[in-house]
Parts: sequence; C-alpha cells; structure tokens
Amino acid sequence: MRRFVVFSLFILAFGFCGTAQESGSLLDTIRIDEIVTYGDLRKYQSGAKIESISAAQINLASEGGIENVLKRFSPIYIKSNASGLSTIRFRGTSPNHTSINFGGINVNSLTLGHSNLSNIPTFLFDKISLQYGSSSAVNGSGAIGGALYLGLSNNWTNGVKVSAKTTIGSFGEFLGGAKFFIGNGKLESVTRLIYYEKENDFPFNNYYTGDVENPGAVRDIQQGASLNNMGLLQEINYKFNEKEFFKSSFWVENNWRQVQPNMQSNYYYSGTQEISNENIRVWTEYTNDVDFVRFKAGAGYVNDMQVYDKIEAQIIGTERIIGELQATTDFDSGLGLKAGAKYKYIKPNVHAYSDSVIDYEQHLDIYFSSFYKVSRNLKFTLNLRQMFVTNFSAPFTPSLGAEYILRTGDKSFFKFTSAIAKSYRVPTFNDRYWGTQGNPNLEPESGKNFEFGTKFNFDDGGVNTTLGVNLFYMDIDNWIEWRNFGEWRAENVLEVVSKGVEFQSTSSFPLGFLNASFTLNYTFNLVEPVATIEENGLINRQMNYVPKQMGNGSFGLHYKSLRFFADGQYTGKRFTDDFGNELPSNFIANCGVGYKLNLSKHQLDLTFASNNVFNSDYQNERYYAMPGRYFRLGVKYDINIIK
Amino acid sequence: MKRMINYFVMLLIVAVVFASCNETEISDPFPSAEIEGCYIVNYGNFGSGGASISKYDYITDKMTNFYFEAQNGGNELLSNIQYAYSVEDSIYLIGNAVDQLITVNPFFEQNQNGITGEMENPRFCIADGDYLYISCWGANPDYEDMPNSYIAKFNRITNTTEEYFDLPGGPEGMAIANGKLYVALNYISKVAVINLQTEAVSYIETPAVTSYFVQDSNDNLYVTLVSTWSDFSNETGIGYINTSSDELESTYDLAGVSSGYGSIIQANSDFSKIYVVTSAYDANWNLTGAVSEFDVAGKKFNDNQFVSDISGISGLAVNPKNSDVYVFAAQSVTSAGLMKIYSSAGNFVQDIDVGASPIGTLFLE
Repeated sequence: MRRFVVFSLFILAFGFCGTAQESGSLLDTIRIDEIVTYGDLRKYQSGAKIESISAAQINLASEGGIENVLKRFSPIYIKSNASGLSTIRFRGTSPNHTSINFGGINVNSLTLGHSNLSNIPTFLFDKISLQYGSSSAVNGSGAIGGALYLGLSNNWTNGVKVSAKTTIGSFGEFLGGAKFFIGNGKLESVTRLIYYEKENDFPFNNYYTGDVENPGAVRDIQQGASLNNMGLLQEINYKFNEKEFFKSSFWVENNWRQVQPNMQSNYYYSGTQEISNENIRVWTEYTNDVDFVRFKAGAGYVNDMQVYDKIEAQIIGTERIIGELQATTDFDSGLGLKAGAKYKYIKPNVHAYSDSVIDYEQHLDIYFSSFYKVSRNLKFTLNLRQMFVTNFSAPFTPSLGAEYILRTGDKSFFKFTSAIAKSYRVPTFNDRYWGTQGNPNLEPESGKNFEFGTKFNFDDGGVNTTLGVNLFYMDIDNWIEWRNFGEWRAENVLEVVSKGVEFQSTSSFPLGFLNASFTLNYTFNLVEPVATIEENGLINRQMNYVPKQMGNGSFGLHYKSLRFFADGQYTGKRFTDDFGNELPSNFIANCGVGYKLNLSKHQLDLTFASNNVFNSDYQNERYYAMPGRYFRLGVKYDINIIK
Repeated sequence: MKRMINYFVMLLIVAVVFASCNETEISDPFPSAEIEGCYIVNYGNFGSGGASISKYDYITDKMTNFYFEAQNGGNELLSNIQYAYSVEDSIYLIGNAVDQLITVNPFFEQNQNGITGEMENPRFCIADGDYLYISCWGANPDYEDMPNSYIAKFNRITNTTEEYFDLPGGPEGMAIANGKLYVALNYISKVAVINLQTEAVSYIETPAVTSYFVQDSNDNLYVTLVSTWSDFSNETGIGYINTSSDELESTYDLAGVSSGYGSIIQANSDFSKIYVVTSAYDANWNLTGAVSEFDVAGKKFNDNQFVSDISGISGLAVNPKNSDVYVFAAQSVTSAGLMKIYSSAGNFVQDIDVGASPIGTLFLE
C-alpha cells in the first residue's frame, strides 16, 4: 500500500511537472480520429468480428470493474460473485482463453492465466473493444475465445480539461474519480484517478441455511463481501508532428477484496479471507509514420503481485519487461504489410515455485500481417505468428480473413466477412511450475476457429441501423484443467467444441421530438467437450457455467438535456456440475434518468439509476448471493479551458 | 383342576407380558437389514457444494447416490464433508465451508442443527467416552507451518466444545491408544501424543510429515509418512509406533505415498494387510495412482502393487465382511467419482459411479 501511494505521488508529480512549464502557451486542440491508442484493429483482420462499447454505455456503467459494462452491453457471459471476483467466458471458453490488452501488454496474470475483471476499473478507459473468436495470430498466446482492448483516446489537449465524477449507491457504494487533461497541443499529461469501494451488505433470500430446526429460506444480510479499489493511470504524450509522436501510460492499481462467503457460511458468518492485488503496468510507444516504411517501437514493464489473507509468505507475483518493434507499409496496389517482433523477459516471484525449476523465462513473438484490397469491395488479410518460449514449444499460428462489401444503394450496404484462424495458449506459470504439481510436459492448447458474418448498415442521416449475424465454430484441443491424478496438477484433459450464432443490432432514430437509440444482442452457444481423458467423464453435454442462450438490450431517449435509459440482460440456465444441477435463467433490468446542465465552460451531469429494478433473485455462481434492487446517484462535472 | 386352569392362565399372562417386554427390549430403531452397507463420503467442491453420501449395499450390489438428500427430504449437505465417523448410534460428519459438526442417525437423518462457530477448518475426529476430539486447522490457516491449529474437545452429551488444545503443525488423522490421543501432524515431521488424563503433550519425531493412522489389535499404530511441497521428504512410507513406549520403532519405505486428504491407508479386518494409496509418474510422465499392500506379519510391502494405473485416485476402503477392496477415483470435483471394486486377491470386479470427490467410507451394520 505504501509503495502504491509513493508511486502514485511520484507519477502525479511527474505528470504535472511535465506539463506545467508549457501551460502558458496553449494552442488549439487537435483531435486525431484514432480512438484506440495502439493501432487499428480491423485493418489487418478483415474477417474478424470486432465491436465496441460506446462511450455512453461506458459512462452508464463506470462504477466498478469492466465486468459491469460487459454484462450489460455485450453478449459475453461473465461468471461473477458480489465481492469483486469476475471472470470472462468468451464464446463458452475459459477465462484463460481471452486476452485483455492494454497497449502492448496482455494484462492477464501470467501465473493464473486470466484477469479478475473487477480489478480493471471502467472509469479509467475511454473505449472498450471486443474481438470475438480466435486472434492468437495477432494477440499471441491465450487469445482463443476472444480479446478485449482497453482503449485511451488521443486528445492532444491544448489547455486544461477536468472531468470529475462521484457516485454514491446502495450497500455502501462510493466512486470518486477524476481525469485531468493538461497540454499545449504537443505535450500532454492525462491523469486519471479512481477510488471505488463497496460494502456489499445487501439483503438476500438465503435458501441454504442448513437450519434443519427452522427449515425454509430466511432474509439474510450479506457479510464479508467488501471491496476497495484504487487506480491511477498517467499518460505523458508528446507529438513531434502529425506523423511522429511518443505516448506513454503508467497504470497503477491497488485492489482489495474480501472472499465472499457462500450463503451457508454467511448464515453462520464468523469471518472470511481477503485478497489484495497490486499491479504496475507501464507502456511507452514511439510512432514514426513519416516515411514509406512506418515504424513503431514500444517498451513496457509489468509488476503483478497478489497476497492472500495478509500472509506475506504466500506472495504470488511476476515481473515482466517487454520490448516490441514493428514496421508497416502500404502500397498503392492495395497491398499492406506489417512485420514485427515482441520480446518478454519474465521473472516470477511465487512462493510455490522452486528457484531451481524456474528463475526466469523469455518469450519472443515474431509476426507478420498483410492485407490486400482486390477491389474497393473485396479485401483479404493474412496474419502469421510464431512464438518462442524458454523450454517450451509453441505452435505456428496463421489466420486468414476476407470481407466483401455489397452496396445496396446510397444509404445502405451489406458487409460479408469470413475468417479462419488457428489459436494457441502456452500453459500458465502455475500450470508448469507450481510446487511438485507443475507439469512441464503439458502441450499447448490449440484451437481452430471458423467464422462467417454478415452485417447490414443503413444510414439516411436520421435513422441509423446496423444489423449483424455471425456464425462460428471453434474446436479447442488439449484443453488444460487442474485435475486430481492422486495429486492435483494441470493436464491436457479435454477437446471442446464451441459453436453458435450471434445476432446484434444497434439503431438510432428520431422519435417525435425525441432522439432514440436501441441495441439488441442475442447469442446461442453450444459448448461441449467431445473428448476427455477421464474414465467416466461427461462428454457431448453443455459445459458447466456456460449458458446456451444470452441476450441483452438497451433503450435510450434524449430530449435536449434530459435523457432516459433502460437496459436488460437475459442469461439462460447454466449447469453448475456434471450431475445436472442448474442455475435458472434470469433477467436483470436497469433504468435511470440523467440531466446535463451546460454552464459556459462548465458541465454538470446528474444521473439517477436503479439497477436490478425488478429485484430479481438470482445467483451467478451457485450458493453465492447477488444483490437485489439497488440505486445509484451520480454527479459528473466537466470543465474545459481550451485555447 | 380349577387350580390347574388358574395356574395355566397365570402362566399364559406372564408369558404374554414377558414376551411383550422382550419384544420391546429387542426392538431396534436402526435394524441391520436397513442400515448395513458401505457409506461413501463424497467431499464435493470446496465452497461450492456438491458434497453427498452414497450408500453401497454390498449384499444386493446396489449403489444409492445422494443418499443424504433422499433421507432428508431433498435437503442438500451444505458443507463439504471431510470425514465421517460412527460411535454408538450417532454418525458425525466433519464439514468444511460451513465449518460444522453434523450429527445424523444411522439412517443419515439430520434432526438437529450442526454445531457451528466452535471449530475452524475441522479435519478429523475420534471418540473417547463422551468426548469427541476434533482436529482443526484454525481460521485462515497459514499453509507454511500451520501455527494456529488445535484440537477441539467436544462433549457429545451436552453438544458443546469444552476445551481447545493448541497444537501447531496441522493436525490431521488421529488414534486413541492407552489413554493417549495420537495426532498426525501434516506440516511438522512429528506425531503429537496428548495424555488424555493429564493433557500433557509430547511428540514423536518422524522422518516425514504424517497424515493418518491404522491401529492393530495391540493398540499399536501404523502412520503414513508423506512428502508434501512445503515439507519435502525422501523417506516416505509407513511408520510403526509402539504406543507403550511412544517410539517410532520402525519405518517401511514406500515411494509416492499419497499426500491427499482422505482414506489413504486402511487395514483389512484381521489386520493381516495394510493398503496404502500411492501416486507416481509412469514412463511417459503421466501421474497415476496405485495401491500398495503391506504384509503385516512379514513386515514388508509386496513387490507388486495391489492395483495400479488408477487415474485420479482419491481413497480406498476395505470391506470388513468380504475383504473386497474399494478404490475411489475422481479427477474432477464437479463430476461423478468412481468406486472400483477389487477382490482381496486384487482382481477387478466392477466400477460404480459415486458422488463428486469420494474420499472415504463408513461401514455400518
């Protein structure tokens, strides 16, 4: 904690000092139309399905971690409890099968293989993009089911801009966050701070008291489920000219949470454990687009540390140093090429690893990407990647994509996309090095992904509609799980097939004197193991905690400064074990109103919302309570002093 | 004649009364015909339910899974059951998450709430008179050396815990012999000996950490010597403890003794053989389980394993009636486990599905 505070102060001081000397000569703000800071995702992946969560949706669910915004506005299943443990299940795959990218860093823990989404505060980011399906050829190990991109806007602020937000909510929820943009159009400092806490002392119906003398459900209060997150994201950016710039991001997180007791333990509550995480993530990048061959060089540092229940002897941590070089060029003929290499030096600090087994590990990725526009309407992309890992063999990974645009008039067109991709995941450090149970003989997980999609766009200046359907088929072999073989260890145990269809729609249109917006997502996803090494293992049945059906929709109305919003999420029933126990389907609805007050350079935005407005009684993980109806009152204040 | 008739009437009345009394006296609320069987403890998935009891009627060869639920109106076992123990007409189930001591009758009917708040991370229990001694790891255990573990002394009559004995080192399996409580310590290479009269604690040094005991007819003990990640040892096997001298008199080497928690050591009914669960890597670096057989008279492990190549081995039991050996296997905590039945000669008989994570048994008559 002390280290976090000292580091935060240092970064803050550095950020303000870096801009203070220039603040007297602020010029016009220049906004570059590149929202995701670190590259265009679609350019080299024409067949891939990539969607973005809008800024308005992010603003609606900026309290807590990114799981809240994903649950409400994407068709991705998140398995979560109330106290800040959330893991992603992209297209029915495991949490280890989604890469979460911040600049050139995959923020997933190298020991566990995945991220707790609750530890990634939505407030810090301007955009969240989702890539469905395999993208290992682009994102490297782990991007089997999908990928998330945490984006920061390019502002090149010329002046001072401050945005502050505070929210208070039911059950001891508090968010305090601020963003400071200071710059002269060339040198820019962006500081983002967040403090979030939640007591989580919500009432719920406890069906699992185990009280045989007074049987039946009782009204209970959740205990031992508090959480507390602090984050700082500091950017220092410098623009030499329109085609040459330097960007850097320092992201520090300190997250603490209690381990939520299940309902039966809550009824007899006597205490719980706690987990604290400290993460330092630094990514710096120099971009030079001046010449025919464009260059990009990046460097990063990551320090992840987790302490269980204040037992310092049980530290689980890693340090990473990352370097990346990339060159790109585009030819007039419609051909574009990109080639690069990324190097990682990783040093684990895990109490259960033996120094004689693992001192450090090195990763080197060499990649090549290209696109070729055959015509204005037809484009192909090719990505190739080979990863090299110390004492481990990773597979060669190609992907091929295509898109064809069929114009159906001035106002509308269809886009057809298709992609074939191989994917892989190198086993985690825990899988290979944990105590005597680490398994150095694991094979990498390997996947094949087939994707076909079509999207219809219509825009007549008033009505804007996008309708899309995607079909996918994914086969993942050598799926790794920890199993008991007389001793618990990681093993390649399953072959899993995930297939399904996704439908998505977004529309905005005038409705009388109002402006309306509407989104709808639906997914049908069959995910079944087709082979297992377990003697009596279950195959050809939907995997646990993977709903076959999910859907969500949102609706917004705007009238001048007033707005109304409502959204709802349907989650189908899920198996919780191989004995056929299920969590029933549920529907969670949220709604609220907002009012924006413009006072010259000042802007005040008030929001009142009710979440789970129908007070749905549900569980995301069997035996773990979730809150019923709760309320939030938020105030956002923006000031723009731009020259 | 009248006297004779009166005499016979009297005799008839007395006979009826006695017969009635007799019938009342021998009426058994838990008749063997309904109780007898092997009850398998399925641990489930820690913190996420799934614990269950399976009843195997070895006479009719019938397995009834989710027996506890069936006997209790569909109510689930809401704790993960670490161990089951029978004394008189009470069966004690040691539960984790919720930490509790559940008491059921031989039909596995639970009529009173479990005891909660008096023990943290309970592991194992054993009775001595009116008392049940329960090994506990304590709240929020430090898995390096388990400094806050203890033994809870639970009064079975008053249903309260009367006393706690601090016992650092991760107490696991226990045995009672010669008025002393022997406690296998799983995080220190010692066996603790608690004099139940004086409550004085002494220790027997062991070449490895220990986990469970079996007790011979002379009240001497065999204890498993295991290697764990936090306490590595090359000297695994079983150790023989003379409970008169409280000395570890002999050790018998056996590689790869299971460090798992559950029924990893069992003796047959005449104590001529002791079976020990092991796990080891094969030539292809696959980790598989096996059962080794110790010849008590010959004081050596048989060169050939009793059974081998069991994937996911999690415990064993020996049927006291027919000496069949039941070997349990479960790779996953959310799927059905397996009970593999072998004859005493090691011949495979059959596989039967049981609940999730089978780790031990209880034989009732």
